[in-house]
Amino acid sequence: MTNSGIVCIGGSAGSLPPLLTIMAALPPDFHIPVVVVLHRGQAVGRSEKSRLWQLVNDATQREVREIEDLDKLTPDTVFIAPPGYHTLVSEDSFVLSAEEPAHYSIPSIDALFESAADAFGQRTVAVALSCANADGAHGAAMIATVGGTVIIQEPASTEQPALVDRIIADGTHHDSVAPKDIAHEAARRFS
Amino acid sequence: MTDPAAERAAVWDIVRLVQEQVGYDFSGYQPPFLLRRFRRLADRLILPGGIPEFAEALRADAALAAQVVEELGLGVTEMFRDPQFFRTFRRLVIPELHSHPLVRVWVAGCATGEEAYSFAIMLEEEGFGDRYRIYATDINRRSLEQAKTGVIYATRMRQNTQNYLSAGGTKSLSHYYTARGGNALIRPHWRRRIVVAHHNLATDARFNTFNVISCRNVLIYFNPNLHARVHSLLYDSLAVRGVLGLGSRESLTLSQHADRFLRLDQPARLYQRIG
Repeated sequence: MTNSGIVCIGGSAGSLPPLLTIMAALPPDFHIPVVVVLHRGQAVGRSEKSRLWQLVNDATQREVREIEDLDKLTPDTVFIAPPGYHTLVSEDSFVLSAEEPAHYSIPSIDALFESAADAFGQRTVAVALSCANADGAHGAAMIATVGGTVIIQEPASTEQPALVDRIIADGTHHDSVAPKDIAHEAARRFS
Repeated sequence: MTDPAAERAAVWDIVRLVQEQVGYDFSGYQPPFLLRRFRRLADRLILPGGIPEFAEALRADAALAAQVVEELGLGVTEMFRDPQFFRTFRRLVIPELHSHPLVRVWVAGCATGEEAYSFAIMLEEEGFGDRYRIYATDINRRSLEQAKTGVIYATRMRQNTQNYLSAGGTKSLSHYYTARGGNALIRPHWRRRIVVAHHNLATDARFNTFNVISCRNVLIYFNPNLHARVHSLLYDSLAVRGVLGLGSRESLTLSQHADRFLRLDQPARLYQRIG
């Protein structure tokens, strides 16, 4: 099975509200897999399902999967990058890595965005949300270079503008969008 | 930016050159991971032509192969990594291990040794005395050299201490090491039951039978073929009723022996061989 594209969403501090807004607004006839990487600490609970999984699962009709090694990248699914690993993608599956943090972050937004650029090229849509550092800017630039689309959360609406500001400074974004419109804008890129 | 096709071709050139030049075979590794590390290497060497330029440099200078091996060597390890694994191990596995006169543990992919030290400390605290032996193996000879010394970099000790406590440590981590040249040295007494040796999971055979195998966050780097092959090796190396420990996002999905294991707990990845 070949995926016709990928949507990658990255954020950290302040990204949960816009993320959940996006999750609720994913159009039912939009099937492209969505992969979410938020900076997060190691899991401490005894539950298999993290709090983040619960929140995302409650917000969307799609199946939600916290990524395991070897998981297939399937349509109509929202995938969440697990704590303690970098999440990379190939054309049809996920690859986890336990390398050193990037920008002090693991999972790293750059790691996902860069591998998406490699695997999907122009069929990549990246969404950059509120984030406390510039992790993701390099990956966004790579996606822009291979002809993919970079959507940033409108800076004024972010709690932490570090990432979106850096993307603006790099000149690599295509759209600056309010959270309530991001899902529609991402889907539009594939129609 | 470099042409993607040229990049991918260069990745396999580098893999082939490294195999020829220093005998390490990385052809079974996941391509996105290789891309990521080789790109990092090219950046560090300030090669504007990226991975293809690095492949050219490697063709001309075999000494660079050692850098590739280091780049893929993944020195990131901690003591009591993912403390919940050890907590669960103490609760569910240790009681059964006491029935064995000698407990054999294999830490497969030990890197610089931290996982092996962690098992040693845990088994000591759980009263195994001299009734255990740990085999710590890895493909990377430089990591093994460090594992033999017992040295851990000082910068890691705070995290290691936190992990130790979260993992159910009954003393203090400082009980087990001394300061040496600004770093920490695990005292020889706590390393006396650890054998450090070279072993290549991709190519080498079974060398013993173990009651416990810890192979955490090693399989993630392997492509599905190699993954399956290593799972067979691990299964063959595990005694019946022995326990296999995997990383927190790993499972037996690609093991053809998955139905011969019982998963011991959620969410820890501990699997007991029952057949």
